[in-house]
Amino acid sequence: MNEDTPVNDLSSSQRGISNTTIAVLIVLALIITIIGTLAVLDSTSSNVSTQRITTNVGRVSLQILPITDTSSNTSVAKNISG
Amino acid sequence: MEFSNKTLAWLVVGAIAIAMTGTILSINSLNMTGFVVVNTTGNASVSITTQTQLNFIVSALSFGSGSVNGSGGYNCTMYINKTTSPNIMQAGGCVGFNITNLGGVLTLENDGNTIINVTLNFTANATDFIGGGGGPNPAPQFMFSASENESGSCTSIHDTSWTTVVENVTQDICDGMNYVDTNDSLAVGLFVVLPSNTPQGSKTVTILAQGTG
Repeated sequence: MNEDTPVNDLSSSQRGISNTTIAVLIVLALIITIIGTLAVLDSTSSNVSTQRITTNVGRVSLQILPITDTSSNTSVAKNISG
Repeated sequence: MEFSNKTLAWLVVGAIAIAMTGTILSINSLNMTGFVVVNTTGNASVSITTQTQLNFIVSALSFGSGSVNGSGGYNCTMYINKTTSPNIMQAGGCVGFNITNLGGVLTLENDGNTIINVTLNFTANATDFIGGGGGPNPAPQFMFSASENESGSCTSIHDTSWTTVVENVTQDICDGMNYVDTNDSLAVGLFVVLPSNTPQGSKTVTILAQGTG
């Protein structure tokens, strides 16, 4: 080793971990957390009963006819005297 | 106080360990399988899908065609329910009209495989459906009633006596309608009073039955 070169005499335990490593670890933590959260949410949704709705239609009808006036057909008795 | 990168890294590692532990515990609590199979026995399973289905198996009631004369209180009264079905009862000044309904009384059936609550909603009330009234004529009336068409079809049935139809208002008729084939139907009775001055023409009202399970 060249004596002019600065000597990095820090032990490995004293060396810092790069920010890149920390970023990777954080991303990993986020992924694991998201997977766990999704698993719980999925299990929750499967346990919630969904309200189901069904409909059907019926009909009521009638027809009102015009009233027929039958008074003109009424027979009238006549007394004929002669 | 400032944390060194190494301290931060250990914190992150700790967070990962906690997150993994939580995830593993969650997955185990869900009884999720498929990761490891060590069984030598076979399992057969069947999954029954919940089906909610409410149908009018008799969906049309026709009182038929006729008129109302001034005798008998200036009205024509007609009704049908489970007791009279398939006959339509008449009183007052009814001229013509049907005395029976094809298929009988309106009937709802739970054709699904789950217990449901049933409501009715009519598109018209007596005034809009029938009209007329005033003077010597009585006001028009339009009423319904609910009953078990098969015994044991409903845990809690409502509106078993004649109930005035309110337009576009949901009316609860049954809480807990059964789906077992021999105990799964309700009869919807209908009652009308036609004044003698009811406007002529064809008249129809729609009934929306809704089942919620």
